[in-house]
Amino acid sequence: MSATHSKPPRGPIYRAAKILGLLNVAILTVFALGIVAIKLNETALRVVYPRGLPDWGAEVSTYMMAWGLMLSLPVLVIRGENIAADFLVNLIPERVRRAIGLGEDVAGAVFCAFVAYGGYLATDLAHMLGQISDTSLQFPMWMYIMAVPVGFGLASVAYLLRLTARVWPAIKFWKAAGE
Amino acid sequence: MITLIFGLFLVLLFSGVAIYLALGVSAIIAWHEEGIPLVAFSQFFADHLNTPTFVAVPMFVIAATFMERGRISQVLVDFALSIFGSLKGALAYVCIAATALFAAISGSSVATALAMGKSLIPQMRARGYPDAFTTGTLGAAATLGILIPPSLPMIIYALVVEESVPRLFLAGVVPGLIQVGLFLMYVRWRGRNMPSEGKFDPAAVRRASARAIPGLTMPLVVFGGIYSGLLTVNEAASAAAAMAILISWLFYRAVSAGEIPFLLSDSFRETAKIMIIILAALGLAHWLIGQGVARALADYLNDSGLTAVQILLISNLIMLFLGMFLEVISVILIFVPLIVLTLETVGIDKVHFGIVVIINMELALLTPPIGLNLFVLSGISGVPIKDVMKGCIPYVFLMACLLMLITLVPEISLFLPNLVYGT
Repeated sequence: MSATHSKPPRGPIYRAAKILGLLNVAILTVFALGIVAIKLNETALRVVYPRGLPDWGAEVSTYMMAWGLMLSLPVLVIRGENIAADFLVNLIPERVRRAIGLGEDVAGAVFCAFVAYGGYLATDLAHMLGQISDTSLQFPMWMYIMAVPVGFGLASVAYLLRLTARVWPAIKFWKAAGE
Repeated sequence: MITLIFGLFLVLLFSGVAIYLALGVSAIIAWHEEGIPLVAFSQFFADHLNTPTFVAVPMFVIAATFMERGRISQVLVDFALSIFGSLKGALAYVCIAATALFAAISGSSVATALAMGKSLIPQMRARGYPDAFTTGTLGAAATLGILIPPSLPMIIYALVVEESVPRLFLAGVVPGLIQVGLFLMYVRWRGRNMPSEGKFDPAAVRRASARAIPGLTMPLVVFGGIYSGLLTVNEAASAAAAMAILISWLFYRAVSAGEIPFLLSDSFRETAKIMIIILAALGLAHWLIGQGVARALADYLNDSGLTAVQILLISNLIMLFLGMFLEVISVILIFVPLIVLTLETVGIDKVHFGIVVIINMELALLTPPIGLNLFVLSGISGVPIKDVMKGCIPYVFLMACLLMLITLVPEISLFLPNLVYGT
């Protein structure tokens, strides 16, 4: 923990992490404001010009939400912000706690990698079958499903980075880039 | 197999790993043992994410985040103070009233506790209110955030049991008002030796009301919009998010333009914390239901000759127990899918049960070791957890009475939704 309190080294990895963090913020902002804009537009159109109401508003806002949530996963992992029932943790000896932490990172990396791989297969299948949405937008479903492998894939990488940081504390400045 | 998977889940859960991971790892192993291919598990996640009603969740979280960071809590405090200021123990009344108003804007109890705590704790301390009473009152009042609509746990519950969100929102109104009434009665008794804040001044009420109008307009837009049929729940949530951004940025000037993207991404992350648990819990619940666990439980309870009231009382005990160790959304996602078939079998209304669940979750927010409101208030006030808990005890007792009342008299929660939508 002490490494995060001292000024983190500003090397290329730090800069890259910082840029990725800002990119994440920018994408999530676009999605959040996009959803708000679509919903307000739907409301306004229903009142003033119902015939102009698009049939794809709910669909696009759901896709934006799904992508936004999936892209939030790796940041949650890097920051260690996932919700845990940690009331017993303080009763566990420090060494056991550290072992559980390592185990969690390994399990997290493997679990997310499995879901990402399954998601890749699902994306590939949707692409192969040419699945499209049933609105007038006819959105290619693989572009939506791809949120799952991307989000969980990045989360798996984030778990690996966290694992590396446990073994090699100097890399903890990754965390600082997410703050 | 069920015992093994459930055992694995409990071991992972209590070892302190992320709850979604405990659920997800158990689910993926269970699915694998059933011979279901991996692609189906990921497709299950993608399919459930593709639920339009989920869009309301990040939107209400955005509204709560901006309202917490904006000056809305202080404005609501000033508004309530202008009305209750002349009473003995005025700040305690203000605490209940302003928090109830904030709850009608925010769908989250923790956001409510944070926002109101930051505004009220320094003032109550400066006026000599005991720390335990201050934090206890705030902690209990903040639980209204999930009972008075909009409420994030209600949306999650509605999705799990496939019930109407607007019906559930309406069902929370009367129990919420009863809870406010009970708290105000306690504050009246407890605050009899505490100071008032000056005489009643109509001009001050007018000034405070004018300042509070933008904040107070939000619940009007949300509920007026939904119940007039003008807005869907998603549109109302998006309107609340847009208003919260604009009000805290342009009107109260508590948030700068540069902060907006970071607050929006914070909101998305807060939502992701919940949604990832939902997906993993649905994965495990899907397997459990496939194994016939929910059906077996429903049949067992049905054959055992238990009445609907007895099942509700047993459910209360289970939820109170789970609520001591798990946070609100997890309890809903773990317990409700198992009991939902039983509800249908014995004829318990799912909207009524939803309100029973939410009041249990309010209690969960105040009961150790995982009472989130206790930690939030202890964190922002520096008051030891045991003192916050001590201050909460009378309110927990009142809420337990409310829980019994709502459990035994379904009409209290069903009156409004039946009036508006019919039975």
